Order: sequence, then C-alpha cells, then structure tokens
Amino acid sequence: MMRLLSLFLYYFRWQRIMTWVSLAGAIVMLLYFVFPPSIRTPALIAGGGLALGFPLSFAGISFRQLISNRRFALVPRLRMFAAAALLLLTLAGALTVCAAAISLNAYSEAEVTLEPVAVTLLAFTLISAYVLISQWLVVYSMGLIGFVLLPLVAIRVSFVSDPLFDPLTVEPLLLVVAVCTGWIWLFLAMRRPAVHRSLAAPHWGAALCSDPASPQQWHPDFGPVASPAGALMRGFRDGLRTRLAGVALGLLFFPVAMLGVLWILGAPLLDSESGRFPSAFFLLWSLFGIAAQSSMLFRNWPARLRYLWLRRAGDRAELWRIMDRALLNDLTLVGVVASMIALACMFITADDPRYPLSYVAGCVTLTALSSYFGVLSRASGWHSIVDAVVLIAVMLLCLFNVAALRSGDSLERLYWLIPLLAACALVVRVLARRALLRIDWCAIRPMRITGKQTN
Amino acid sequence: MTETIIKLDQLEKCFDSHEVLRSISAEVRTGDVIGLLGLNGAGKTTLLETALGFAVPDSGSTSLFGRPASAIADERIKHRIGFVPQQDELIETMKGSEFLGLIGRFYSSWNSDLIGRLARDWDVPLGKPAMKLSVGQRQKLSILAALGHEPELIVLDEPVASLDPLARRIFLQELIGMVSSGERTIVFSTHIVSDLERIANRVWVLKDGRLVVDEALDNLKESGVKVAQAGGSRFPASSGVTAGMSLEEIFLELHK
Amino acid sequence: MFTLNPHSGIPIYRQIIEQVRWMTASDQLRPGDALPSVREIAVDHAVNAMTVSKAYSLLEAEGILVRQRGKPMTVSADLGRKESKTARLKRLAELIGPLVMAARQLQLDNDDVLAAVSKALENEND
Repeated sequence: MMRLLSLFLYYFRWQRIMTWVSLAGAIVMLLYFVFPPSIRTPALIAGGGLALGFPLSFAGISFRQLISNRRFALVPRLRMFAAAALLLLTLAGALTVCAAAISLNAYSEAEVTLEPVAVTLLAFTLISAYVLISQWLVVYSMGLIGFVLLPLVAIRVSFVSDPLFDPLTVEPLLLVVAVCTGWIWLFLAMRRPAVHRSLAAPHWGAALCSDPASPQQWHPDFGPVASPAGALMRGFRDGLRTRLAGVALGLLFFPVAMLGVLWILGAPLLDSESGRFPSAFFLLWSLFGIAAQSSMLFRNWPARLRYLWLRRAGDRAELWRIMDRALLNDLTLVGVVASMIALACMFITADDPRYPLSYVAGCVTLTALSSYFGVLSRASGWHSIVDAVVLIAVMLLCLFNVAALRSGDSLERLYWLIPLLAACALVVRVLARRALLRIDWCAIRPMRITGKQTN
Repeated sequence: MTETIIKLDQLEKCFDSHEVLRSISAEVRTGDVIGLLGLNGAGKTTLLETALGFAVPDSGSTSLFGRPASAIADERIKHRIGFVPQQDELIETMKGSEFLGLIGRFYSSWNSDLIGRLARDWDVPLGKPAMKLSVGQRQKLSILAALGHEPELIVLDEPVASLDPLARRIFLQELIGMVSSGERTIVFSTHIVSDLERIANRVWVLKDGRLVVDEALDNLKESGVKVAQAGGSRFPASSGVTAGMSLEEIFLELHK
Repeated sequence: MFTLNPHSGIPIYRQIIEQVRWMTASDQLRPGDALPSVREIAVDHAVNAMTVSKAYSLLEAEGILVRQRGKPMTVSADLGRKESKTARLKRLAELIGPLVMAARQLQLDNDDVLAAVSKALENEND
C-alpha cells in the first residue's frame, strides 16, 4: 500500500518536487493559528492552495503518466487505485475551496450568503471537469492546452458573471448527473489497460486510422488518391476518416477558437441588438479558416509529388491529374461538411437562410482558389509570403464587401463575389497545371519537419 | 547483355543563373558500379536527379533505358529503378514496417522477405515511428525502401554519410552481393572515397560542373589520369597525379 | 585467403594476381586446390566482384588457374610445364628486343624481318 502511494508521490522527480511544495503548503495550512490574526486567513488559503491546488493542477497529467507507463501495467489494481486517488483528490480540493470561500467570506465581512453545499458542488464540478479533461488531453499531446486554458476559463467563470454561463442558476441535479457520469466513465475505462496511443499523432484523423496495410482501410472506391500516393503526399495516413477530420478541423477550429478567445476576454458573445448568436461571424471565420488551411496544406504537394515520380506510372501530366483529383476530393468534403454546419446554423439561429447557403458556396470557391493558388505559388517557386498576402487580400476584399453590406442592404449584392472567386479559381488552376508540368524538383524540395525549407 | 542504361549527352543545368552542370557527357552500362565523387556543392545531387528525370535539363539530353528521362511514363521502366535520395522520404509518424508496407503497395514485385532479412542484418528497428529513429537508422530505412522491389538500376545519393564503419561495411557487402551477377547497375555518390575504392569499377569526378574524370578505377590507378580540360578535350595528366596513387590522393591532387 | 588493400595504388585485380602467383610458387596452393568463388571473395573482402572476376580470367589466360564447368576455379595441374614455358618466352623476349631495334636502325620493314626469322626457324627444324 505504501509502495503504491509512493508511486504517486515519489516516483518521478517532478513528483518529488511537487510533494515537497504541497507538504510545505499543508504545514502552513495546518499551523495557521501560529500566524498573527491579520494574515491568518490568507495564510490558510495560500497554504491550502499550495497543498492541494498545486497537485490538482498536475493531477490529470500525473494520472495519465502512471497508467500509461508499461512498467506499472503489471501492478495489480493500479488503475482503479489511481482513479480512486484522483477522485479523492478532487473531493479534497472541492472541500478546501469551500472552506476557503467560507473563511474568505468571514474574513472580508461581506454580506454575501454562501451555501456550503452549492459552493462545494460547484467546486467539485469544475475541478472534476478540469481533471478529467486534462487527463484526456494528455493522450493527444494537448495537455498543455488543458493546463493553461482550463484554469483561465475557470477563473473567468468564477469571477466574472456572465449571463451565458451562470452555473449557480443551473439545475444542481444536472450538475450532479454530469459529474457522476464523468467519474463513472473514468472508472469503467480503467477496467481495461490504457491503450498506448501514439502521442506523436499530428492530426486528429491520423489516430483514427490504425493499420494502413490492411486493404479495407484504403477505400479503393476513391481511386488511387485514397491510397499510398495520398499518404506520401500528406505525410500521414490517408483515408476518408483522416480527410474528413482534417476538413472538419479546418472549418471549425478557427471560429471556435475565436469565440473562446472573445469569451475569455469577456467580450459579449451575443448580438446586442437581437440577443442571438451571431452566426454570420461564426461562418465567416469558418470560411477563412478552411481557406487558410487548404492553402497551407496544398502548398506542400508540388514538392512532395517527387516522391511519386519514380514510384507511380505516368508522366508529369499524370501526376498533375492525381493531385487534381485529390484536391477536388477535398473540395467535395469541404462542401459536404460546410453544408452540415450551415444546416446546423439554420436550425440553431433561425437567421436569414441565405447566409448559410452563401457560406457553403463561398467555402468551396474560396478554398478552391486558395488551394490552387498554393500549388501555383509553390510550383513556381514563390515564397510563402506571396500566398499569405494574396489570401489576406482576398479575405479583406470579402470582409469589406460584407461590412459594407451591414448598413442595410440586401444580400444579393454579394452574389457576384462567388462567381468571381470561381472564375479566379479556374484561371489559377490552368496556371498551376502549367507550372507543375515544368516543375524542377531539384530546385523545389519538400519542407522538413524542422521547418527549414531547403531552397 | 550490356545495354546503355543512362546516357548523358552535353547535359547543362543552371540554377539562378549559376551553372551547376556544364556539358556533361557520360554513359552507364549494365553491370557498372559507378562512384561519383565531388566536393560539397559540386552538383552531384543535381547530376543524379537530372539523370533520373526529376528536372528537365536546360540543354542537352538525358536518356534512361533509351527514353528521355523527364518524360518517362511507363511504370515498367520506373520500377526498374531504385533511388535513395540524400534527404530521406520517410513519413515521420509511421512505423518502419508500416512505411515499408506503404511503399510496397506501389510495386507488383515487392520482396518482403528480402526486406525482412536486411532489416534484421542491418539492425533497423521496424517497430518505431520514423521520428524516433537515429539518423543512421533513418538512412538504412530509406535504403530498404529503395531496394525492396529488386531494381536493376540502383542510384544512391550519399547513402552512407551517416552510417558508422561497421554499418557501412555490411551495407557494401550487401551491395556487392547484389551486383555480383553482373545484371545490376549501381550509381552512387559519396564523400567516402575508401568505400568507392572497394566497390566501384568506374569513377566519375565532378569538378566545377564538369566531369573531369570518367575512367575505370583500375586504369586510374595504373596509368594516372587524363584530366579533361576546358573545352572537353583530354590531355595526359599534367597535374601531380601519377600511377600508383590511392583514389583519395588522386581526388586531393585534382582539387589542388 | 587474400590480403587486399583497396586503398593502395595497386589495382585490386593486380593484387589478387600477385598473391595467387606467390602462393602457387611457395606451394601454399598446390595443383588441384580449389579457390573460393568470385562472389565469396567479393563479399568477404567487400570488393567489386568484377575485379575478382577479371583477376581470375587473367590468371586463367596465364594458365595458372583452370575453369571447370560446375566446379570452382582450381589451380592448374600442369603448372610446372606452363611456368617454364613462360619463363622461356621471357628469355626470348630479352633477345627479341635488340633484334627489333637493330631492324629499325637498319631500316628494314616488318615483312623482311619476319621472313628472315621464319627462314631461320625452318633451317633450325631441318
């Protein structure tokens, strides 16, 4: 038992440091009466924070590290023990927060009435959420996000009142159910050994495709694109799931991130006039996000086509056709996923339905333009700054038009933008093909992982 | 049966108005093992890649198995070639075995037994993703990916630069075994002159964009070297190169 | 079997030839002994097989080695006789040199010289 405990406290060096620090905090907390009365309560809170808050912030990471370590896989009931320890730690943290809140209340002599149960429940929910999410994020090498972002969010939630998220008015039963579900899920997951996922997966979708060699993963109906050629081009496993995940990421990451940033900064999320979610901005950010991502993705392809030169039948025209097919494939996926997002928006916000529809058309055309332009630019040997400049210019053009629209015009005025973008995309496509047929693979080499571009 | 596999005819190539290859003419026949020597930046990679069709020459012609190199579409010709580039083409997140399986899917005649044996002999861990391999292991994995389809023409661009002497010796022995029947051809560029002396039967030295030496190795050692002067004609050795010098001494002498 | 130094100024095939000659002269290789195959030597010493093959062919032309179908190269059995014939021819070469020089100085063309030598040989055989 003691040896199991030592795994949590003493096994890794960073754990030892942490243990000493929190022990110091615990001593301060327990001996709080030693201090003069004026700083007694802050000392109590600070000590408690160090004693429990410090380990809590690392709890998720520590948990994952322990249960993923192959050396401990044979230790009996380690996973259950670890999950139980995590739960106890969370409870202790919640109780400490409650005690701190009460004593702080008494200390500041404010007239706020605090219900201990509600505060404990709230603290438990938040801390559980943090612990569970951070330990899950560690699996995907995103532990840093949990470590940095989630406490920020928690602080924001606790100290800034926001009509969008007021947990004290949320039904306590809902909180209890959510929290219990989370913990029960964790304990159930601990019955089986943790799958050692490759922490090096650079792309969400890549983790979904496990074995590239088995024939059914290669979706032969997609033709030679969803195949070894595609994997060599992209730099990770190719397949429908990977590509879908990539497209979804491109369409959703930027708008969600922008919303998150706004929310953390405390800016109002809802439209001040209508009180509804501003889907127009969400869709606009989504549009820019996918265009930028496609440009960056397809900028790599012309150089990487050299990997196919000696391996695949066909001259340069054939290699162009392969790349073109892959690009059109991706465009189709963009159209599909964008349509789903548009439908969701139409249901949620009941805004003008023309916004989402023009969003879908805009997504496809702008993505086509930026992808082919990326190919043209790389095949001609232009610097990536050219890409960025052109993309930003096009976006500014669209933004300007949209902004000019808000002052009371109808949406039809913007309809000319879409065919213009489509025409530009077609022209750029022809130019890109010409550039690719002449490409000099000695001069234009793929970028390396370290980011250094040779030539 | 000897056929001309690679034929370079007055090949010229410029990058950014800087002439990298000037009027290079050479031939590679079946069974040749050609070592390409040159200083860093002399254009060895450009020469090899242009010969294989990765770039279109500015003037002159390159032909591969009788066809112009940059316009080859026939898979059967392409699959007779194995190329190990200087910068490896590994996919970082894939394990070695998965990557080899991926490459194998391009070829109809992929010999996985051969690859398995070589991976064991050369001590290449196939269960680790490429980003976790050392430089030498990555190089060996690249070589494996190029040999799996048992090509007739093997072109290697500095294949052993990162290998330790033991690994180099094992690799050379394997190459020699492959070539011993006389049906396979190897062209490889290297700095490591000592390896060249063992395995090559013909030496090309690239200096200032020209092929100043295009001789059988035995002739080089026995009778000194005929240095190609500007203008392409050949004169008897006027540099300090005499008979009975090792290849490294010859190379150093040429670059004085 | 051999000690090969690829880095010396002497080509590898010449080193092999020298070493085989030495070994047969000092009886380390006796008539009928089999030599390793071209591929074995090439792989063991990490040298080009064509070089070894060239060495073997030249040794076979000299008569030191004998190639038998299906068997490895073996040291020739009638080494003694061939060896002395080569030595004898060498002696003759020492005399041919001055003869040729003299013919040049006397400005006699090749046909005359050869006719004279054949006549002398015929006369000898009589």
